[in-house]
Formats: sequence, structure tokens, C-alpha cells
Amino acid sequence: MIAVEKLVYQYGNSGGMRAIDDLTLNIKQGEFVAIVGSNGSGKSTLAKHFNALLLPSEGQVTVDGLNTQEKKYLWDIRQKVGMVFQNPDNQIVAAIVEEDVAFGLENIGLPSHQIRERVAEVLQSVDLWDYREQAPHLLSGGQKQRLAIAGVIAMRPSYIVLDEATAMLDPLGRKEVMDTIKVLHRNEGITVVHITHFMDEAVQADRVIALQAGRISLDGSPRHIFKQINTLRSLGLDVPEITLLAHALRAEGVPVPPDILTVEEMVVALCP
Amino acid sequence: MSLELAGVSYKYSPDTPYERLALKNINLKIMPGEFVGIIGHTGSGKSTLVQHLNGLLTPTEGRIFIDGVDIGGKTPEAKGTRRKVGMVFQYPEHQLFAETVYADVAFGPRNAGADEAEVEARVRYGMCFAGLNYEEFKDRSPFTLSGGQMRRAAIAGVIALQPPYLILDEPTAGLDPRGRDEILAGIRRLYRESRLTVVLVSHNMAEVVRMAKRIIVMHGGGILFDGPPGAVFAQDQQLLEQAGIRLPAISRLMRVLAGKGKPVKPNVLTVDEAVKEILPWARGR
Repeated sequence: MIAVEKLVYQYGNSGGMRAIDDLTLNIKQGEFVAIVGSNGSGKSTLAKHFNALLLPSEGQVTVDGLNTQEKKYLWDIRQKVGMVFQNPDNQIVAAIVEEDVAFGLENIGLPSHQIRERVAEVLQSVDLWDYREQAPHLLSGGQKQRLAIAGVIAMRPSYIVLDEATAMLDPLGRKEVMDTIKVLHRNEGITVVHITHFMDEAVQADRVIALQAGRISLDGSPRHIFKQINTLRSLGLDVPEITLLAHALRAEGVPVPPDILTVEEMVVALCP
Repeated sequence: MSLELAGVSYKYSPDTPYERLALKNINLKIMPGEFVGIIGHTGSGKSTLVQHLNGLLTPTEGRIFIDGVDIGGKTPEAKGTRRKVGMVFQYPEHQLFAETVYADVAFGPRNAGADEAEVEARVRYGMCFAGLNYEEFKDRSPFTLSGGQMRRAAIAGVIALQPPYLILDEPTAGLDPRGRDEILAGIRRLYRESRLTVVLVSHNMAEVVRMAKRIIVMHGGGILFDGPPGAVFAQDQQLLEQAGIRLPAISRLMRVLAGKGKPVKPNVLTVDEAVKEILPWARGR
């Protein structure tokens, strides 16, 4: 479990703005959590606390009971919590796809036959096996992010945090990354924290947390969150268009449920 | 008067093992006052295409004309003509460099030889259109602004040049919904209030069809489709998906309903239109 207790984070000296303001949150093993919020709401700042890239100004963060502020746990925490960032080009270190995945494993001194096995395993699980001998810079954005994910999961983390990892991708690239993390979550039980501006991605999580000014303003299932149209708008967030349509139809007296999120659900509601 | 590509092909890294044909014999004419949306997935050639429009890339084959002038030449006329096209790149905030927003926005007009009174007027104009309050932001360092504000400062710098042709390459990528809506509203206002020609490149189908009057779908370095927004949806969905175009959710819904024989139009883009289509039928059930 990642446990965040009364976390405060101030940029600069004390007296600076509170990017995170007295926030408490638990993320349990096996969850798939989406964190949403406008620019400056504290999403990335919060995520960087999950693997000790940032340390609390006040309060504490623990990962499976290990306090991020204790230096001796740093490498254990970083091994448990893998991060994927926004810009695919900033996360690639090697000139060949399989060497890029092997980089972290070599660093921890894994025997080479194990490295080979693990590289093969993770490249297959992100569907990049056919590209193993390619140069990473020739991959598409979605493929590069899947490579970054492969490098992270090769380290066998319990948690993977995606910090706007889909923001620079085209719709197909976004779908590739979402499909990949859903498979990892379902088949390998990895805990996923996905930070995103795209509500169609947040809908696919089990739990959605909306931040505003460094605090949690909504926390619940996508169904519960996305029917609160006015609150979402006041937070500067989008509402899925299908949900907007459901509300508009209800206002006109058409009996469809208010918490419809997908095209398929709307079709079922209209054509029972 | 127009932007015209005549038989344009472009090769990246020619005569190397990495040679790739990024544009294949493109013929395209954009008339003054048009609002053209270009969509296509990464690698489809859309950014390569627009980088030809102000001479950033020179075609491997073919020619580019702006208002009838071939911009490939080295003549003063060709050079001056290239300036008619203002380009907002992807992540334009990476190109901010000056100490204040004013200095950054003023850079272009100053370079173009405007006197200080004219420069100030241009800066006010650019910032106003980009939705940045002049008094509030002119003395701020661009690096203390939020992501959306930085993006607007960068756009202001291009608008201040008052180009007759404005090209925006993914102007909303990476912005949150509010930042995105502000930028799009600014572009819409600019288009309405000046007699500008706009070319908007985007991944986001929903965004483009709401803004543009003409849609160009790029795929594999060629033009797959060129026509009004409504007609894009008459295209075969599989063909569109191959081109990496995902229809907006509302459009997908209406297609499914129409496919099931329900009396609704399949080519609907917005929630309001969908309500109008669905209501008569749903009430009569």
C-alpha cells in the first residue's frame, strides 16, 4: 500500500505556495487509480512523492510501510514504484530496444541469462518483441512509451506510476499505452496510478481521484465521479460526451441512467 | 492569392539507409479565408507538410507557391513571401527566450523592422488575441507563467507578426481542458475578427471538426480525404481507423444506432445535434 498522510509540499522555502495541502490518501495493492485535475492542481507533485523523487515538507508517505524520508529505504522504494514520464524521448538511454530494457537490470547486477529472459518476457508483454533490435528513435510515440513501460516493469515493481505518459501521444498511441497498462494490471496484478487530462482514460480506471489546489476534491468510482457534471466543470475538467448526452436526454424526459460512460452502455440504454 | 503545393514530395535522410518518403506527390490549394483542419496519426506526414508552407523544409520534388510566388527561390521576393506564413510549432513554449513577455512578443515585429510605437501596438494586439492581459503580463518573465499561459505568450509572438496565413501545429497538446478551451476560443475569435487563413493541425478529431470548414486527412504521406467535416464521417470507418483517426464518441454512437436501423442521422458531431436526432425517436418508442 502507498499511504499518504497529511502530506504538505511547498515549493521553494517555507512560506511558498502549497502545491500539496494536507492531503491523506491510501492506494492499495492491485488498484487501478486515475488522478485527474487541471494544470497546477498538484497531480505530478503528488505522484513524485510516491517514489521519493520529492519528499514531504510536512506529513509522510510510506510505500509498503517504508517511509520515503528514510534514505536507507530509497532504493527499495524506487524498485517497488516505477515511474513513466510525459516525454518519451527523455526516457530512453540505449541505441537498441532490448538494450534499453536491459539497462536497469544490468545496473542491479542481474546475471546475464536472467537479463535475457526478463527482457524477452517484458518486451512480449508490451508487444514490442518484434522491435527488439530496432533503434528506439525510429519508434512511434506510443511504442516509445511502451518501451519506457517495459524498462520499468523489467524491474518487477509492485506499482507503476504514469505521470501524464499519454499527453504527447496521438489517439492510437494513447490507446496502445492504455491497453498495455490494462493488461499489466489484469494479468500481473500490478498496481497502476495513471495521471491524465484525458477523461476517456480515467473512465477505464477502477477509481478516480480529482485534485484541486493540492487537495482531493473527488474520490470514487468513475461512475460516481463522472455523473457530477457541474463539480467536474468547476474543477476545469471535461465530462465524457456520452455522459453529457445522457444528462441532456434525461432533462428531456428520456429515461436513461445518469451514470452512462461509454458508447456501448448508451446503445444498451436506448435499444434494450 | 493562395497557399499552393504542386506535386510536392519530401524524403527524410535521402541516400541513407534511413531514407523515408514522408510526402508523396501532394497537390493542395488553400484559399484566403479558409479554415483548414489537418488530421492524421504520428508519422502520417502532417507536420512535414505544414513545415513546407513557410519554407522550413524545401521539397525534394515539386514547388510551393504563396500568393503565386514560388517560395523555393533565393530572391528577396521569395524571402518576403515566406514571412506571410506565421507558424506556431508544437510545444511553442519551448521557444520562449526573452526576459519579459513583452520582449518575447516584440522580437518578431522588431526583427521585421517596425518602429517602437508600432512594436508596442503589435505586442498589445498579439497579447490581446492570445488572451493575455497586457498590463498584467507584459513585465512578467515568461518562465514564471503556467503551461497554458506560456503557450499563449508564444502564440502572441506569432500573431504580433500579423501574418495573413496562420499555421498551428498541435496548439493544444499537453494542455488541460481549460487551457485547451482558452486556446481554441482565441483561435476562433482571431479567425472571426480578422480575415486570416488558418491551418490547424491536430490529433484531436473532435477539436478539428468543430473548428474547421475543411478537413484534410493525411495517411502514409498522402492525402486520404479532403472535404467538409460532415463528409469525413461518410467515409468507411475501417479506412479512417487505418489512418489512425478515431471518431468522437458521439459519432460512433450515432453510427451504431443508425446501423441498428434507428431513424437517426449517422453523421452527427455534437451532443446537441445528437439530442435533436434521438429525441423524436426515443419519445415515440
